[in-house]
Amino acid sequence: MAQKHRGPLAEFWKRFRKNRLAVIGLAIIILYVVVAVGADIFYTYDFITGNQIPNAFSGVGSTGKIDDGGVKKAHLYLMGADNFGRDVAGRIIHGARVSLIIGFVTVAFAVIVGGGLGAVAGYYGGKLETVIMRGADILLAIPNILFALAIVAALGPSFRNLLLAIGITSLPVYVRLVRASVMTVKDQEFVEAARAQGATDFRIILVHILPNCMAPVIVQATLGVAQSILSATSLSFLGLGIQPPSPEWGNMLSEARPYLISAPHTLIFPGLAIMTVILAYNLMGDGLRDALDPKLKR
Amino acid sequence: MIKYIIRRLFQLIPVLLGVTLIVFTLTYISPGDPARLMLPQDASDIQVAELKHSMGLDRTFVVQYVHFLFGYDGPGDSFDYKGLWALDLGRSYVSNRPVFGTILERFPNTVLLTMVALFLSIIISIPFGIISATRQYTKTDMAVTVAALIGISVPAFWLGMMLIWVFSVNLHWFPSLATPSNLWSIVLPSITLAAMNTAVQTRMTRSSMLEVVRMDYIRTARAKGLDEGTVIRVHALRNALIPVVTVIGLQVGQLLVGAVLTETVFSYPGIGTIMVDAIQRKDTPQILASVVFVALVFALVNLAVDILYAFIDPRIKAQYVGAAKKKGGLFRGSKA
Repeated sequence: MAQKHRGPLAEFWKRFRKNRLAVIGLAIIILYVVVAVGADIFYTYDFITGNQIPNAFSGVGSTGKIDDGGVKKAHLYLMGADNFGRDVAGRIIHGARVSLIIGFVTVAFAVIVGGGLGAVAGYYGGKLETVIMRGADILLAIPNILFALAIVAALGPSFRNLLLAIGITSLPVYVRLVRASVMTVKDQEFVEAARAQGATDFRIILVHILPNCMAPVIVQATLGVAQSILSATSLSFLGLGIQPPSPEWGNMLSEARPYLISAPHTLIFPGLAIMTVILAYNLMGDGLRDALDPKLKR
Repeated sequence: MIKYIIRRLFQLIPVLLGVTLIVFTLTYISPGDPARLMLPQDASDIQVAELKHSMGLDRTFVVQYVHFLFGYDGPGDSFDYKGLWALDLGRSYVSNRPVFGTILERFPNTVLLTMVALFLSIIISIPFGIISATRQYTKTDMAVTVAALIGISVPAFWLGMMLIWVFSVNLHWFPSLATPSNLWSIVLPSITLAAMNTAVQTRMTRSSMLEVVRMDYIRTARAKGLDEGTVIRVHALRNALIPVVTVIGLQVGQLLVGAVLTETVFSYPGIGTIMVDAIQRKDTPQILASVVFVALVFALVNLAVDILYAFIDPRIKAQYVGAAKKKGGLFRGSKA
């Protein structure tokens, strides 16, 4: 709206950069993305899932002989090895890939479907709005993690069901958010102007209204990724998410739980991984809110 | 006031129906035939069909949903239940005990854990929030802010295990398994459960205090020569706490749900452990009864909290009544 007089992106970046914590958050997220994308380069997959029993519970920073496709070679266990002698650091890096995919896919689903429903509800109003909003109220009435847990428990644990469960549970927030923004924008002059020029409803919503409603959605989506990752690791920890031996932070913790006394490193590092990535998204979400919120703009 | 409460209760009905419909639909579409699971492996299709008939599973979706809500009286007596309204959804596939019997038996344990966690979060968060706000941009403020940020980011189940590692395994201060009969053993799970809420409430108190201390009446209080302590305690804190109290109320429900994971880590016998055990054993009636139960309690707690606020803060009620009288009035007012 009012912020377009001086290169909106440049101004946004200027404001975002001032928040040092938010920049740290962004840096951590970029690091995780790089690591997740390059996981296969850093650690060959076989060696992450393949058992290396002789090295079980190798300590942090120890070296061991590993069997890499029949070839014996020395390997440095940066974060130690788990109960099957698998490299904890390698599994965390491959787990980063799973967690980031879950975070992005579920939030994208929730933003597109929830945002779409919210836009329709806010733009058209009437009975359609009542139906959509009551639906959102009902979904909001069931606590997120509990609802996701019920969905996966009913449909059976699989990657697809996990995505579906977390996607559906994060949906209603965006319905409400987009509806509220659309309602404040839809009666403004520029929308009327577009309508007077004969633009279709679809075009008005997509081209004229939604771009003006994005700020709160972007903030919520950033925090939403953190929420999704947390839900996914929680469900995996309970045995309802990604199943072993696929490396995922939650199931790593669940597998390592019996060895809390003998091999605490197998628990400490995956937990730290979850915590830092969620912290990073929270920091960035806070920073985005400050940078995008016109109310705080001087 | 009574009108307001009645109106809120009526509003709750469609939400509760929606929640039960969703949970029921999930059972209905879940793969796996309970009748076949209950019979021996070599049972014939006719036997399965007969059992399905006596369990009422051969009826249509709508009929089964009505049974789910208001009870089922089948050909035999063994599969009868009185329905959700009477808190009777039949028996567990595994233990053959009434599912709600187990839930109601363990629910007080979860309530105990939740209440201790709530108490902890309040006595920690409010003082730290105030200290942080009154010393904005100092090292203390920085430390509290960072601690709160970590608090909202740490997964509860991992925090629980780390607390066990430090305080049970290494220091031997607390037992690693929690039981409701030993209050000392509830300390670690309460801290685990309270961590997230404490962080949220600390942030809330801080930002709310920061907003309030910029108000004119605070300047007035200072101008008339009151000492800073009185200004903060009497003038700022009371107003700053209104949104904090709202958040605390909403968090009661969150705590109840968070207990699911915390209880698992500490093997604490509450609703959470029932749920997780049931999931691991694929005990569908027990899973759904637990989910529906927690969801209903969650909705009722939130409603109770809402109504309480109307008592505490008349503005909330006024806002509500105004919005209800002329539809959309609230929105048009806020747009200006």
